[in-house]
Amino acid sequence: MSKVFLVNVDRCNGCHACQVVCKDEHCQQAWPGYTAEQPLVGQFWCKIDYRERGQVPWVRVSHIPVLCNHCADAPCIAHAAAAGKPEAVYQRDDGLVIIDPELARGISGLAKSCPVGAIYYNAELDLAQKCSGCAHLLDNGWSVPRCVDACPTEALLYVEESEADLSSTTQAPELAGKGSRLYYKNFPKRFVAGTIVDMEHNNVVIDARAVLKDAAGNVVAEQMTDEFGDFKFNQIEAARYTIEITVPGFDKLVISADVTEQDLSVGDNDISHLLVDLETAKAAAEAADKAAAEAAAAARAVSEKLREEAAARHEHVAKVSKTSLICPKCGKKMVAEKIEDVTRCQFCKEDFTVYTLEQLGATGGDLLAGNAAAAAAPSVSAPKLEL
Amino acid sequence: MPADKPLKIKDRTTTKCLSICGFGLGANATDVDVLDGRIVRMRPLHYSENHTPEELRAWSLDKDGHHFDPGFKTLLSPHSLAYKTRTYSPNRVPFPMKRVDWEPGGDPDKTNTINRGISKYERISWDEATNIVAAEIKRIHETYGPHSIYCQGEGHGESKNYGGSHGCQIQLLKLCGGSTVQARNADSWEGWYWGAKWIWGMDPVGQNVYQSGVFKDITENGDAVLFWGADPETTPWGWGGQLPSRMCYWFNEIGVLSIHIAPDVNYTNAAHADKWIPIIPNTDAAMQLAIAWIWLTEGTYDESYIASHSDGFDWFKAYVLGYIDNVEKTPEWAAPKCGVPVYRIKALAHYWARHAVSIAHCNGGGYIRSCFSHEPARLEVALLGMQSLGKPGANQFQFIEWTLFNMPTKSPVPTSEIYPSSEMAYHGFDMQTGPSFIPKTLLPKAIMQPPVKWYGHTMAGYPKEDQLNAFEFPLPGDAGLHMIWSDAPCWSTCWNGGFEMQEALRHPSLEFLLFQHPWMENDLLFADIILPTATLMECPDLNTDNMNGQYALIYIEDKAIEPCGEAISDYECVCEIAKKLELFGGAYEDLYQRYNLGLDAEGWIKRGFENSGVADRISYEQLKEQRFWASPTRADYDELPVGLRAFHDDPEAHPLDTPTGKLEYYSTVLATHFPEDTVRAPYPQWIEETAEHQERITSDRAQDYPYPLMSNHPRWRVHANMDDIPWLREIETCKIEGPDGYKYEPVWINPVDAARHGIKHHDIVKIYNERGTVLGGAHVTERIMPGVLYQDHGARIDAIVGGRKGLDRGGANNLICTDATTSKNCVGEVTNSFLVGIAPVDVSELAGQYPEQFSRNYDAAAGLVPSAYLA
Repeated sequence: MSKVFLVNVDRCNGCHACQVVCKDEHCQQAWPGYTAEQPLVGQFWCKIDYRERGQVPWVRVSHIPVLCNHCADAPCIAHAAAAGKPEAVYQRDDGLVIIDPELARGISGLAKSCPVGAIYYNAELDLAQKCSGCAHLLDNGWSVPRCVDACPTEALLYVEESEADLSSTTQAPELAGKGSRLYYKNFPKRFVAGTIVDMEHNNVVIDARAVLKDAAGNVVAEQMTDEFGDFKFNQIEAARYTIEITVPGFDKLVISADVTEQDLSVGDNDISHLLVDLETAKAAAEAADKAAAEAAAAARAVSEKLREEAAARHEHVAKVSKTSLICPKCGKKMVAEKIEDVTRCQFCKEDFTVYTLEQLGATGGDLLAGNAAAAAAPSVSAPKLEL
Repeated sequence: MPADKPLKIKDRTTTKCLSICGFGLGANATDVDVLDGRIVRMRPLHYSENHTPEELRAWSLDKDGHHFDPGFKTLLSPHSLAYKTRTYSPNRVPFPMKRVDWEPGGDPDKTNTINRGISKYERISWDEATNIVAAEIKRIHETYGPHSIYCQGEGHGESKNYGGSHGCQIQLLKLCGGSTVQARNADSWEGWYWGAKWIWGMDPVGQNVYQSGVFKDITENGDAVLFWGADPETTPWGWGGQLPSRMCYWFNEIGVLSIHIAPDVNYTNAAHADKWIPIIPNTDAAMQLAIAWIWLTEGTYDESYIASHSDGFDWFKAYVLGYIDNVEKTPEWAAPKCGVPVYRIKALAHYWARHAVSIAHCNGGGYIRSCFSHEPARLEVALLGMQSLGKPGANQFQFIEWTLFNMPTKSPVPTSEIYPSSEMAYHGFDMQTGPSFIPKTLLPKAIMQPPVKWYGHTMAGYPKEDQLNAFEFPLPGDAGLHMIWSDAPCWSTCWNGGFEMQEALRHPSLEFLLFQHPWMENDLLFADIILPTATLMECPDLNTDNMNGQYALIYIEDKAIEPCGEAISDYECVCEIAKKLELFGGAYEDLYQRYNLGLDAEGWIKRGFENSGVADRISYEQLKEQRFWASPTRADYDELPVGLRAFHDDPEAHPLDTPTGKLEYYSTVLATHFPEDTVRAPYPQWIEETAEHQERITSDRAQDYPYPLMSNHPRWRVHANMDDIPWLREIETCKIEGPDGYKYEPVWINPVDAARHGIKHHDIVKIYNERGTVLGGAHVTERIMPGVLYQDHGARIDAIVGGRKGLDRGGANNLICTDATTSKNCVGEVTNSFLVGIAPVDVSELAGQYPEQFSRNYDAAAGLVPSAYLA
């Protein structure tokens, strides 16, 4: 039975907790038989690869945890064997690859043998060092290494291989064929995003159709611009594309988007100069405005309806004291041992809910009494506006 | 191969509080393993060690097949996890010190105040130090009176209770005549405090204090959250950890739009945003007014709600529509001011009117600490009111400071049955000032140009009516300041106008500066006597974690390690001085006993535990045995009124804490008490400039200093704390290594601006204005909009030239922000969105000009070390 590392890049917020706790465990602390002291700075057995992507205003940062992959067919094991020290780097039954902190001293080129750069050379000790999977902790009853223990978002998992959901994962291409035991989910590809605007009316264009086509002209994806006039094609392959924008009444707008080298913002794109059929465009705009006005009215209606219902229910009652309250409907006073259990007026049979002062967030005093005081005070409304 | 016997990985574990809030407010409960007398690891606390999910009524949320879980371990930030290096920092103050050219007694020829920040230190013993301190206190009391000692005893930093990180000196001096207390202004909340409170009440904070159930409400009913300057991936790190990160991923998962409005791509934006609306720093008020104009002219705001829930709306409407000043606040008017194109302002306004939109804060980001910050703060409330504030999915909530001020409603996530209190074990600042006090923002003026006058105690959390009270310093008959006793020596890198403060610290009237602190950093280097104090690792304590948003905790902390060097806790330090003072008798008779109540550490901790509220749930011995106890979620959480729903449904029965009980678009209180104030007028406005503040890109000053500087709560520090942590300094967004091997504070600059100045990625640059210059390392990035610069605040000062027009190598940009306050009647700080210029610098040329300053002893990993300042 052995475990693998599962890294969900979409859940990595870049906090660096994993990078820090790895240092916490290993810097200036040796675990004899497992690891020698790591220098205070300079090595990154668990490293966050920081990648800024895109341009204003479409900017993202991907943070990618990089650690030893504990390969089943590890280049470092092969290197040590080739150097005549086959026991210096070995794989445990649980799959972790360990560099023996004594036996591996003096092996030249061991650090460079790792295709993903996960091994570091400690000049002072003449020793290559790397992630041990916190084997010394696992042998002491821990179920996961420090990095996984510290991760606040489940971006880093250490799970039984047989139970892990490894569908849609990718692995480090540099370790192809080496039996890497680290799987990435949602490893970043590319995005292209932008906004469609109509500068004649100084508005964004909602519901413009955006079609992403590859260099051969095949449709890769399509979407409608949203209420901000935005489209965003995410997790596309690094390649050259065009984006065709169609809006009723306008000629097609074609935007080129080459994301081979980097993610791209294609900025704010004006279609107003492409108007061909004023009537169609006007009709579409009017329909959109109508739908928008209806949506806004519906949003307001949510509030209106709730306020009407609340008024009808006379639902809210403030406690006068621990043992008495005044009915909001008939105004009569009721006394009860546990006033919070009262749900109905004994006089007019009105149903209501009693909220405690604490629930209403009062920090002291008595709400009803406060209301009474406010009612008794002279009016403090704003003066009448004279223009 | 490892030996057959498992390796010993620890001797013991103790749970410690890594809150950087201070004020006795616990958070970030961390398990610390100790081996052979050293801290060997710091790791999340696992609730499962003592509790089952059933026992804690573990909470979760479900929607459409998606499941949210807050986790069953504390979600620590890298600050907490790296703290071992802060404790073991080579920058720890090793022993008591005295400035070489300072002698006690107040003789200007012997105090040589002009050399503060320049002359070096020599070692003295604790005995010598406390003798000098006691004698000086007595001399100053007799010569000038108790109010001539200024106590700087508050601040965000360690949250020791028994060990008393901040404010112990205030409590001691209260027992023998009092002192002048530094009043901590609402630094992270300025605009809410001075502005929003006048439209919707919400004492003590000014942000919405009714947040119960809002996380669930947005899940069920919300369409979008506006992150208006909010960075929940960063700011909560000192105050509760990373639950906000999980909440942000949840919104992504269930399709609640995350819309970020800020000049920069902060760390939340970088990981979560669906949209980024770049906006020029401190111009949000223009866009807010334009949004109101769109709603007013298109009829897409909730008129019936405004009619029943507001007062004075006519004034606001008239102002927006241009009837008062003949300027219509159209999107065309706003766009050049704020940098957001007309079509995008309209899109935001239209979207907001059609959807259920909430606004999230980690206290407000940049604009809330800028000039005129009261305007965007109350404009936000004005807009929320126009869209039926309190309806499902429409609230304001916070990702930070949950349940602060003992308010169970001040949390959008389920709250605990019990929030344990550590108050009765707490030594330190208590938000009381006594009659003589100075707002922190006015300290340099109070020293150099007294008297000073202002309104309000200014303390974070004081009720709004306090803003109407006038105060002055010195009190009639008092002599002014002659001594400062500080345990939070970081004013210059944290507050408004650090170079002015350095001037003030050199003022001859200040005869004695006594600073106690664990690390040799910032204003400590201006002290006359330095006393080394211990970190939380070196002290026992009782502590809590009431801000994690999961389950409130109480725990008894062991001393993890023996104190480093000659350090003792801040509380013990003040006790040592008490012991010397009481030898003088008179007012100091029995002072030590009166201060420490005859209790030792265990006595104080037990006292705290007995009054914690959990003594009937678990015994002291059992708590010591199991280290921590967690409170279950309150059973009736789902029955609490959601957010401001009660006000929404029935404003008469659930009035706001305003005179009318409604949203006051026109504040009669402001109109009555400040009738001449046109900057904080009765209704919110756009303020272009004043005599005190010209920080707009259209101002004359912008010819020389064209860039507004965005300076937010830092990512890799908490304010001035933890600038010396090697594992953070290695991170590329934390420090940029110069060709001289020095780690510079990053300055974010857009590629377009960088090209204009010939600045390449990782070049060393200076940012400057008429107040002085600070250096930084250029991070050329699309994470900042063109025309704006960004540098986190709080970097450790490394003064090449101190005082006015100084030069700082560390990148502490608070040195060059204005010392003028929010506005005439509001003495909040202005530490963000001020104008600077930028240019590349040649550090070797500078080093040639200032060879001594550029060759200070420097640890490559941690930065400057005490030997740099020892004679």
